[in-house]
Amino acid sequence: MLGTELKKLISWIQPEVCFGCNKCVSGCPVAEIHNEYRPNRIVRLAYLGFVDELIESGVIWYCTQCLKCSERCPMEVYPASVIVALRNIASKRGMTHEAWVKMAKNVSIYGKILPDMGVMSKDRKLLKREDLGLVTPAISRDLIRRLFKESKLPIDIGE
Amino acid sequence: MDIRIGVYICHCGKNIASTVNVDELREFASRLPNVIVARDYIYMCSSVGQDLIRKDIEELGVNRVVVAACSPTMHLETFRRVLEEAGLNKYLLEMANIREKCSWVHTDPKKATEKAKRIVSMAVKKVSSVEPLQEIRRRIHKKVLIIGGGVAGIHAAIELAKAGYHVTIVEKTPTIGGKMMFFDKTFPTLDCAQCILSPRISEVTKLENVRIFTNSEVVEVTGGPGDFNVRILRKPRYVDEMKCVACGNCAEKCPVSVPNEWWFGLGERKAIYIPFPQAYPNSYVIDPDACLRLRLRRDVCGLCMQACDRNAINFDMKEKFIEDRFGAIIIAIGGEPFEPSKIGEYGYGEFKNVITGIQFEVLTNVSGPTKGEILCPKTGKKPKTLVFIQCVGFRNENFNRYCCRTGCMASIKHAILAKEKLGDVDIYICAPEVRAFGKGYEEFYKRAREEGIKFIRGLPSELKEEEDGTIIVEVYDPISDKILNIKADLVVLSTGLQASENHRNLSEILKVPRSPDGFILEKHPKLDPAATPIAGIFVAGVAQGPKDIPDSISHAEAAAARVMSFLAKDELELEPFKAEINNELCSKCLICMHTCPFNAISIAETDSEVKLIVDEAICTGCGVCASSCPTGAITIPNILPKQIMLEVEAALEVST
Amino acid sequence: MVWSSQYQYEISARKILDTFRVDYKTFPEQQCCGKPLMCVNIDTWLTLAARIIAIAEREKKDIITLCNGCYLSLNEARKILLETPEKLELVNNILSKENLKFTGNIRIRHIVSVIWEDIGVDRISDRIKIRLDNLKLAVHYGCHVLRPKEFAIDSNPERPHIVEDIIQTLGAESPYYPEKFDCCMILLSNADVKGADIIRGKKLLAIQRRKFDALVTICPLCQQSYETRQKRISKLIKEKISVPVIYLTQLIGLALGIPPKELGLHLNTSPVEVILKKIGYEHI
Repeated sequence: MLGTELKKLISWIQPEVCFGCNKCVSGCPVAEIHNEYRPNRIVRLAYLGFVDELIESGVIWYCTQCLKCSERCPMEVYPASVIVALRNIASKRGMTHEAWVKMAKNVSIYGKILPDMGVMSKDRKLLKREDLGLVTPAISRDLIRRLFKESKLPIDIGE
Repeated sequence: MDIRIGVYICHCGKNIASTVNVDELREFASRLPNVIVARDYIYMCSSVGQDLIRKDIEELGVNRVVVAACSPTMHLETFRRVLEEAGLNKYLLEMANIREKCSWVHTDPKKATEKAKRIVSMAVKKVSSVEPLQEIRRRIHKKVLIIGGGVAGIHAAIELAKAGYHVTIVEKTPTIGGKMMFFDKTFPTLDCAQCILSPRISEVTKLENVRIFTNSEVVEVTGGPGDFNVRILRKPRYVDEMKCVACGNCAEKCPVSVPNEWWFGLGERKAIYIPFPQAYPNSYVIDPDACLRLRLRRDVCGLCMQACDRNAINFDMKEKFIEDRFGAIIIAIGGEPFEPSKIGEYGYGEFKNVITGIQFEVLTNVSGPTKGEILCPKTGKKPKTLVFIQCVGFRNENFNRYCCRTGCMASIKHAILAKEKLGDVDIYICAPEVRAFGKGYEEFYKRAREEGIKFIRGLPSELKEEEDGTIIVEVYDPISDKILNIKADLVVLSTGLQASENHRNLSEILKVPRSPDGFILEKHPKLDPAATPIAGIFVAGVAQGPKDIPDSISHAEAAAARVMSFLAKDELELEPFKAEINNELCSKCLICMHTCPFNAISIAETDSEVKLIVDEAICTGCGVCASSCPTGAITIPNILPKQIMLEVEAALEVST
Repeated sequence: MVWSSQYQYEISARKILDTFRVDYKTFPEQQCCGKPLMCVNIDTWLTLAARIIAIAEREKKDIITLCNGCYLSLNEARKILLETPEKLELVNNILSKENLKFTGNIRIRHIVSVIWEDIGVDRISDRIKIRLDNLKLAVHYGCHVLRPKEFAIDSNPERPHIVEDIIQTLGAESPYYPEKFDCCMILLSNADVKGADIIRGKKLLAIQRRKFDALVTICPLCQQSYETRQKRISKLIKEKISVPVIYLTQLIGLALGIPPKELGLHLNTSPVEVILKKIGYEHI
């Protein structure tokens, strides 16, 4: 059946049961500002097998995962999850969006998506975690690399 | 006597023949012990097929019949009639189900045919051992009980009464008429609901052989088809219907106000009230949960009594129980509207200008809180922009899976009425699609579009409220491919009917099953939609599933017709498969009495002995008692343990 | 407890937990909950999430998250691992090398739930030193504490009330406003920061026009979205945006009389001085 590749990644999606109520589009904040972005259109294209087209267009990286679509869908299609599955497929093909590649690299180096660069206070002092008495993270880079490797993350995090 | 079995194998078109090799099966059957003839035919249930059997009985002396075909639930009766017409006892028949139990569930033809052989073999063995049986005859009361006095109950009552049956309507609320009484206009003709229903109410209340108990409930039912023993609770009105002239002086003085359930929360009523001006009986009634005097059980207030110049109010009225016997029962309890406050994102309950379809109906009714004016609850002003949202609480995995069936037409009607009453207003109906299936419905839908009512094929995800009560509706219109931002003065959530507490209670009292959606289960959705699986109990109207007024009335008349044929004879014929207790083997342990789901077994004591007896009218032949009995004292004719063992042996024999 | 790059959130949260003697610990080895990796490779996300949960299990502690994203990520990962034996095995194989094991027997809670359930509005009420009367606050729950409803921190996720109830205890009011449930669009800013800013601008402008004194958040990503980009958003939507954005924990701290600097208010990048003045603080 169409959509099985996606279901292998996320078992609870049901692109086949959508009957086109358009509720997901009505509540989607991205659809409000981008005319070509419609959650149910993405689900339908994926279901009908147009996965390549979807990945090429890059539209799957716009979803902000607010989950209004998945939550209110009367048929439990879970459009937001379909998009996550499509993102996984894109990544397997080496087409992860650069912002996510950056985040993955940061996690491998710092253990978090952003490095701890300190913050500028209102009286213009650059303060770091230690200055504020906060526990500093001590996460091994090798550990994260190992976790990435063994879970088969399809991103080359370099050196 | 010599056993002469005829085996008849049905192809059922391709349903059986495409998987089971009917020729091989017939050859096999013809070689079974005591089988003198085996035939196959494309449709055994047709006249031609039936004639094959009849001729063999008449000409070849066949005296036991096996029909290998579909499930007995389909055509057992059909084939029994064939035997009867041919002069053979109708219980000398066995059906071998080689369709639902074989050809429909298996794909390998070789294995399916082998299985079919075993099934036929079992039936042949069984039929060799059956005895001729006679129907049990019971008296029938030509009296009908109709539970529920809405449009369906009333129509069934009129037909039955005109046919000469004595009818009793038991209605839970203080008036008959049901939900239709506060509709304004009905679709698609925009007939006035009162104008259609009031004459029928007038008719049913005047018929001599109809007895109406309002403010009453059925609390217990025992007995069986043809002879149901029913206990009815008549709740006190605290107002004498014969004296009350519905002048309303009492309500003016009554100090207690509560939400008016007839207005679905859009207004209030007093503790002493009349549901609506055309109520029948046309008398006020006191709500014991609201009235101070009745709640506190003290001699307080009593202002209504003082105001009444007819002395109609009597706080000493008590509950009364009535017992009566009925031959048949019709369940016509309707349904209840879906409560959308469970759908938090639509803000019903918090946003004042979001109402339900049924509340909109109340607004359009001249007897309603706004005297027929459509006004926004928050401001009391007339709305300029209205939005209807369809399928609220339906076609939804989280609420009701089924389609409410009436929502689309109701909203179209509301929209057209709103245009009539309010003039130049902006109306949107948000519906994924419009279901306009009935006569004149599609034309009504077109009329709505012609009048400028806009249909959007999309549903809003959530509603938002401005400070002034305006509701912001963001909805995607796929045809224009735009997300519309509508500032609505009034939003109507078009909901529908679902099963109620009444369904659950009555289902337990009558032991009538319900379908998964909670409504009363019909005997067969196509072949017997107005009957229930329990003999003698029928169902009419929305009680069986949501439907509009034309369908409710048709259904009610169907139920009436079924009751008429059920009660037509002077005696009820019951199938002879009833539990029989062998008194000598009975150890009087009473296990059977306690396990019987229908309370059909009771103790009969005389001076000399104690016996357990089965009431054949109630016994359904389910067999629970027989299997619970530790001494094997209970048996059911033609389903004896030794007969079942014969089938088991046949099933386990290696086939040839 | 999970930490945050939004230091002021962490500072104020710790302050509140310490004031009410809630026992918690943070471990230097905690890493990202893995949510950003969910869109790249689900197994990696599950592994990272399971690791944190396994650490908590090792220490026999529940997890408190400050971030809505972490909250949902950990709860969802836990559920998937408990329901999918193959994933559970995969993840535990990887974790076993550190002698860690995920069994899913601890709870993952959001700080707001801890405040609501473990501390309770009564205890907060008893210790109020500065009542926040006359403050009209716009509450922003964010998305992942309300959806999916299975993990929501409020029993009525489409019409929640617990943050409003806490604010009411502090003396302020937090009326409904139509933009209340609009998403902060943080994930969209990865692919289209301009689009994200347009939507954020719409919400901030509305809050400003409706005369709210501040926007109250319970998630560092939401706070970051609304607080740090007001200049850019102003340019984009051609309207001056100047809205104080403050964490719920900072608000509670203020009501308890804790000085602003001890709540990290000097680290907020929005004009919080405005609201501090209204409470009686001339400077931070």
